[in-house]
Amino acid sequence: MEVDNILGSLSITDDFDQLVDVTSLFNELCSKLKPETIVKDPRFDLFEGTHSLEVNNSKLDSSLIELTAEEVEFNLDVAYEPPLASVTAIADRLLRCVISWLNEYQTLPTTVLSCRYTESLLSSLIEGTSAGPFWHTGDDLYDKVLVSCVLGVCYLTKFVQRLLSAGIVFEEEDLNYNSMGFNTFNNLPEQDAIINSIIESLQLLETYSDDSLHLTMLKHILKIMLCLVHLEDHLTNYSTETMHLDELIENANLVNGILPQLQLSPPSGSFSTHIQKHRSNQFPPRKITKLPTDYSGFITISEDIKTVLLVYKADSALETYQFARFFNKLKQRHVIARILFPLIFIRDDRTVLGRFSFTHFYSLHVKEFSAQTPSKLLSNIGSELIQESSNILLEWYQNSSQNTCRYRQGFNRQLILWDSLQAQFEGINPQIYCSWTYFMKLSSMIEFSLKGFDLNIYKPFEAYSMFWYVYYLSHHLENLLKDCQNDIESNVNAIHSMNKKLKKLKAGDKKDQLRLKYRFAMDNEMEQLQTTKQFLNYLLEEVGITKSLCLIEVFQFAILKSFHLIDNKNDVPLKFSNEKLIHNLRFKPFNSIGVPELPEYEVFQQTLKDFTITEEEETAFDIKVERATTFIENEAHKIIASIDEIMRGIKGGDNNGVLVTGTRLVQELSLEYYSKLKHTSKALAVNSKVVIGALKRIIEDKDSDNYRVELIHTADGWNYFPIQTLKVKENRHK
Amino acid sequence: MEIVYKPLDIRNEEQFASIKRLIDADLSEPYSIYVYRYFLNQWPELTYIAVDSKSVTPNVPIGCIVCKMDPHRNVRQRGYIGMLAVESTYRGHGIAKKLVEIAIDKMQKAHCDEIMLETEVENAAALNLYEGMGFIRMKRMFRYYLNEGDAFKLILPLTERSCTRSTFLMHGQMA
Repeated sequence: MEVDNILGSLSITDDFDQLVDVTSLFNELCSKLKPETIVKDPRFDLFEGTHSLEVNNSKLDSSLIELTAEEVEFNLDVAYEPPLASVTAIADRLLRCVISWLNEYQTLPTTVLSCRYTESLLSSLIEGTSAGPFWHTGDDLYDKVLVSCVLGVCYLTKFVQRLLSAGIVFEEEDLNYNSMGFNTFNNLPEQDAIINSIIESLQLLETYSDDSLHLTMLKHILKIMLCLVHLEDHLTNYSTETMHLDELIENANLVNGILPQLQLSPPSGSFSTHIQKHRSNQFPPRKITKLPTDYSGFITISEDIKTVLLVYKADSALETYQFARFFNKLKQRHVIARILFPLIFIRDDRTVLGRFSFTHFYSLHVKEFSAQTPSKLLSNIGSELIQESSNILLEWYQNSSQNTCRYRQGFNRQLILWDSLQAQFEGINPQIYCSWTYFMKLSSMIEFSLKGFDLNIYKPFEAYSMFWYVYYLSHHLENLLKDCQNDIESNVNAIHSMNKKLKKLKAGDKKDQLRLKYRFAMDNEMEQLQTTKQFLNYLLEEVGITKSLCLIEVFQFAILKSFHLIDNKNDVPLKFSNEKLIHNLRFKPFNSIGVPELPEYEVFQQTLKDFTITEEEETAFDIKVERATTFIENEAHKIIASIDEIMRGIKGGDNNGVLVTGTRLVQELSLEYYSKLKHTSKALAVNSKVVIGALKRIIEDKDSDNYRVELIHTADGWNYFPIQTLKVKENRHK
Repeated sequence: MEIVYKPLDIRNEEQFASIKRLIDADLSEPYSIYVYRYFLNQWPELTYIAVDSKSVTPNVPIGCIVCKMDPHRNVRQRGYIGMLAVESTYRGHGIAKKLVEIAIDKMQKAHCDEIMLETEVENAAALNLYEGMGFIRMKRMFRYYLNEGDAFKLILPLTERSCTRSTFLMHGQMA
């Protein structure tokens, strides 16, 4: 500390006479250091190490980049010929840089900032600057049109910076933002000024009599710029307007039609690693990115943002819940859409969608799950607990827009939160708080577990334990939902019994009061009770599907184990660990969960033993294998019937009187999901027959050592339930 | 060919440079000198080299493993395999496996509760090697590497402490 203070008080002097040469002292002290001694700041950790640069190492020192003569001599004040074709080529390449940066996870200096015009404009921006001129070629195409293009891209970059600073996604993972030390984005003109600049450029192009495709292309590019500048409206004004998004799609499609007909070649040196060499660069040198060949990336951005904006149309908590479940489930949405979702949904003014307070939003979820009115619900709960519940629920929503890997990790964290919350709700009336929390916890545990199959986290030998455990969780979830359904049923019956009682009662005050009570219940409670009942029907169908799919996987594993083709442990002896430790590590996320308790390792072993068919009696063995296969087939049929039921409900807009799915806003996405699930169910049934056929051959050939089991994802299936496929071991081919 | 395995001699600058060269050859974007210094100078006892004593350069490493160990969130001792490389002409002889075994053995004896590492999702050879020793994939990390590939975080549990969430492990109970 004392040394720090002394060093901190030092300053640099210009008086050379006061300086003392300490080289010899330095060398002497160095010579006394042991070879292994390392002098470093205590905060210099592995992360710092892997992010550090090294002077004079050509792979780590961007100042060593060698530029071509064209790059060195590139002059922004020259109107490279022919101006229209050249400006179109520069603007086109700049836009494809934007796509490469935002859609293909590339860095700013290798894309947008590799453009010398962008670099120059950002370098010369000072506060209060109007829209140009930034370079002086004497040609309006360069001095006005290109300026407005570059301003548009810079404005978009500034917006993305704002999105990133919200802390929703992770830099260098979901998005690379390295502004090369430019802090001038805030000096950019206001949105209106940039829009005007682009519109003026468009008007200028109208005065050109040229009928070439270059001119058409440049106009589309400017229209795309306009749309990109308007993207921030969805955050700044919470705009639900999709006009600019539609125009972006339209213009991108038109450009895609024109591009193949044009030979676009920007002036040599106009895109360069120049910025990496000359500006503050905290990253290793990188080559200029290979760019996409069309504008389809803009269509992706627009469509994904449009999908996110659908959440504004939600009429119930049920619909927001289903929206969050499905909007990012089938494919990872564009990063801008994924950041926008939580920002427009969970707002700085502490409202959800500008409509509900956080706690009100939370109470809506419980209400729609229980069909009990919020006033009845909130009365017994402390405000802190309600606040905590709301926060965890909002975290669940925020997690839905994370990238596919972070999404699973988010659930890992949430398990503890839901578990702790459930414990706090134990014994509190009404019981529904606890039930709803338990529902969210079990759903999260199932989602976390099954997502691991999608991400290829599990090896085939782990499939049994994971699927058996999810079956176990689904069983608990099913029981919970049935209990909730019974409660709803009791409430419905209680209302109906009032009507029966009314008919028996003689006229009088008692009858009038009961009639009032009955009418109130029919007018205010019955509809929600019926909706909730039908939503629970849907959830029960869903959990039934999960249970059956897990059971098929478990049976399939057991059949394969019965033929010694797989076991629920490593196939080689372990030197440093053991099977129980490995199992316990896999189930680490669940070992602290209170309810349902994680079964002991021995229970997993015993259940597998129970499922496995032994070879004690050869005839019984064949019969049992046959039975297991028939069971798989029957379960698959049951699943398909349930999926069809759900899909009918979705297609019918939840109006069939049986199921309420809440999927109005994500109808297509949910239908696609259930189609995939259906495909998987069929594939699992087919695979079980294929496996049995192969097993017969393997037995005849006494060849089981030459086969192994792989977890295969089918192209049209749902990856949470991979196919346990028999494969010939590679070394057999050698 | 006769492979001999030995610990790093941190005083031997030649050895240090050889290790750096060996590992750099496998990386598209190399580590800076600081990464090597970070590992090798702080945990020299956890770096091992393999040399071919029958070759013309019997002192030049043809394989190496670089590790560290430190407390993870102050609740468990975590060993970490930072780098592993074998010269291409020497691959397929079990040298990498032996190096990993030597390093894990050392870290286990030093009371590590678990061994951790990251590897590319597409690196089938590394996954086979480690998973064959009992490592399991704990999580997948999106675009973890500069070459834009995802990575798996692999862990080998050595004690029960590895199997309990850090939050639930009492502070100050480290082995």
